[in-house]
Amino acid sequence: MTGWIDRITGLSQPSQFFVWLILVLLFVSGLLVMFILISRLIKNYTSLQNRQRILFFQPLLNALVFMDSEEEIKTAEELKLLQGQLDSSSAKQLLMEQLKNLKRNLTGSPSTNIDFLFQALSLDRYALRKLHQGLHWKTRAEAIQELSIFSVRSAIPAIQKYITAENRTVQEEALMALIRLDLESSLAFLDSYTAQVSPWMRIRIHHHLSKMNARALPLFSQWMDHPVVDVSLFSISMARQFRQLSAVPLLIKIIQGNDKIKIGPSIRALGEIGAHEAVDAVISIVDKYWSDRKISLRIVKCLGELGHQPNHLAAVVKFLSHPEYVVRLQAARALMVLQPNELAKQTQLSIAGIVRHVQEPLLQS
Amino acid sequence: MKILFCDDDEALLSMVQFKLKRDNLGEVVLALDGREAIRYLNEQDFDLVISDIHMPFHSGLEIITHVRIVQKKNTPIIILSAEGLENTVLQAFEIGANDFLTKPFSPAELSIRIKRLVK
Repeated sequence: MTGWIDRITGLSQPSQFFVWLILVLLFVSGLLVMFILISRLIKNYTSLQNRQRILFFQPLLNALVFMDSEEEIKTAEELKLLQGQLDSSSAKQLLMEQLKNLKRNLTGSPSTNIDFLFQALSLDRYALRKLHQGLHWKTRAEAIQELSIFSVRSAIPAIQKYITAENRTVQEEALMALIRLDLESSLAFLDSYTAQVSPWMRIRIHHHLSKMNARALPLFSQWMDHPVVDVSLFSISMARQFRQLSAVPLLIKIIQGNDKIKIGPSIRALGEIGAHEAVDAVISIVDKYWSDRKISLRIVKCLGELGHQPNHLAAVVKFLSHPEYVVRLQAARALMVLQPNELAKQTQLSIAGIVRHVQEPLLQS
Repeated sequence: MKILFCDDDEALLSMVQFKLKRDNLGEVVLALDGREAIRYLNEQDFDLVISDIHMPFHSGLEIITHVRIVQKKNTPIIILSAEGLENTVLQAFEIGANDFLTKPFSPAELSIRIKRLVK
């Protein structure tokens, strides 16, 4: 060893520098390779341990999930064996993933038993601990999701605190969880909700609510006057999608008001709900919003869906001379549905192309 | 009775096998993917096939095609799928499935449908 050092020190300065640099780099890369190998070994060992745990848990879960009553589950030997294995967070998390997977695939009494097992194994307490003590937002969001998947209604007060969380994902998970868990209170938490409802959240909520009995859904009109615009828009959207006729009077009141943000969605809702009694109210705002392209488009589309009297037809014909092309096109489409003969009578050069376009058989849906 | 159950979800395979054995519905052979399922179909005879639609290598629809067109057998086939799209359901029936269950499903309902089909 000292011979090597003597040889190196005998070299010129630049050569010494490069030799030492190479030796240091070799040493560092050796350490790196060792680190990678050791972490690989640990990972493989953990995977093997997890696999063994899964294979141990599965037969016990099979037996417990198909038991006939909660009493039977409480006194079952399989439950005690499972409890004995949950000595670490990783074991608990692994079991939770297995239960989540089963819950996704099964309904009926096995699904109810899975919810019961979640609490019998104190996994609800583990999830609540993750929620309150988790440092990372992902841990909190995951905990909220787990509590809602397994219907832990006692966690509602804890989850409510997170609907105004700083992190968007945690906020959205909390909102989704409350909707799943709190439907019996008819989404009462929306009364004091102050955060945003993103379009993606609306889709998720609609997807969830559409699986429920429509009669069990709350009347969304109660939130159409909410101080938070997102909540109002959300409730207008839900009333539209679930075709709640009881919302029509309030929707008519909104379109006769001055809140432009809500007018377009409200007109759309009236059209899709099929509120024929609202057509005159829609016609009354034609001139007011003539220069607003979006609202004019909504109006003419709504008239196309609901129009049934001569004055409704006249309003649609008026839109054929709107300054915006898309509005004229929509008006032509609406006339095509309401009164194709009336469309054929329109011979103005300015809309000749539109009329031909709308009458083209290959473009009919 | 010999049943072939195909799904890429190991936990579900184990659970359904447990349930069907508990209901005395016979021997249940498990396949984790489409390739394994087709191999079993070529090697053994089954009284019933239950298959998920989306699986590695071969889908549930390909398995129906294999049984009906390649093997020319009338073995009853039940399709399980998380995707309950009308087109998928119709396609499954058109190519020869006998029954279709959407996930999440009730294992008790699956048992009843099996008993009814195999009767």
